[in-house]
Amino acid sequence: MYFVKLTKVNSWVGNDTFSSEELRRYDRQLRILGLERQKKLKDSKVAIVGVGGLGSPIALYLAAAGVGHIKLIDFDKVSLSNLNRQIIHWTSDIGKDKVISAKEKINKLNPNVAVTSIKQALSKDNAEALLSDVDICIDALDNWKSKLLLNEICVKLRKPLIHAGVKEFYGQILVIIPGKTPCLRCIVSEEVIEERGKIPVIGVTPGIIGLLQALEAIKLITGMGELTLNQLILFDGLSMELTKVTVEKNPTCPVCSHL
Amino acid sequence: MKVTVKFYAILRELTGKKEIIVELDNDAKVIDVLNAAKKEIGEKAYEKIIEYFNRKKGPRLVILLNGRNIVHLNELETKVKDGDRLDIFPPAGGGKK
Repeated sequence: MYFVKLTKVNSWVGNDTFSSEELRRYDRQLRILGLERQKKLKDSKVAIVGVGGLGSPIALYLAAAGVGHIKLIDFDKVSLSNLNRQIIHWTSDIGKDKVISAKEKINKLNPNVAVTSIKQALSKDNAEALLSDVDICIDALDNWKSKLLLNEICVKLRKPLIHAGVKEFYGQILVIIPGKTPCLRCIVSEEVIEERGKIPVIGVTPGIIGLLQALEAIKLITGMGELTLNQLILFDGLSMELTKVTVEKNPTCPVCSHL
Repeated sequence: MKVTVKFYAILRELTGKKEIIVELDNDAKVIDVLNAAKKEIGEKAYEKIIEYFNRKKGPRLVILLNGRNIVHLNELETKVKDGDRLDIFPPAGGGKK
């Protein structure tokens, strides 16, 4: 039902929103999305918080899909041990700010995308200001303290948040629509404590999980398909299983129960 | 009554199971479900689950009872009923470093 006839795609040349270059660039997906949904992507502003293992595929694919504005937030610099999974950064980028390295790649991949690079760690002081102008936030962070802070700010600002975390061959995803679905704090306990030391991970795992986040973002923006609302997705790469576990709001959640 | 217990990620390696169904008397609690699961998952796996759930250093295991974290209910003393489901997994916190 979504497919658009080829003749219609050709007839879009000369429209006000997209150049002929963009129409050719997005040709294969315009056949599914149509101009209206592609415009929704172009008009959207997505914050990717953390430009590492998860943030790399998310940034590349959302840029390739034509999300009009991507805000990258990360304080860190590229290091050698990042490169088994953080595929937006290359060997020649070692020592460079991640938000700059990523912006350079996005610009080369799709110059139609506006990229804002914020070289800051997300904190209580800056989170609200950094996220107030975006439509969707994507959690590509590597620690629970920041993940829970991002969750809290997104609930406060009523911004949709696509959470994920990875370890080894495993990962989880939760799409949070403040007021409608459980928030991250409903699912994990408030005493959740950081992993000690470095988190081991096979690079493909954040690749897969990050792309599932990007897919949910595209669905959220375009309104297509069914979002995984009220469902925690658990991915197990070793047994190649993806399980959806129905989750409920915590009626006494200190973060979202007032909504 | 019967309660389904599902294990994910490293818990599958630990228990050797993806899913078990535990038979219990009425008025059982989550801790009774885990106790009854020992027969299938072994004493060592049981002890690790309790340890990882209670630990103060490192991420705690999440035990969901019908989609609610038991930490927000009555912890291991939360009552269960026939047909309930426990999903047990370690939350993955990585993403960047």
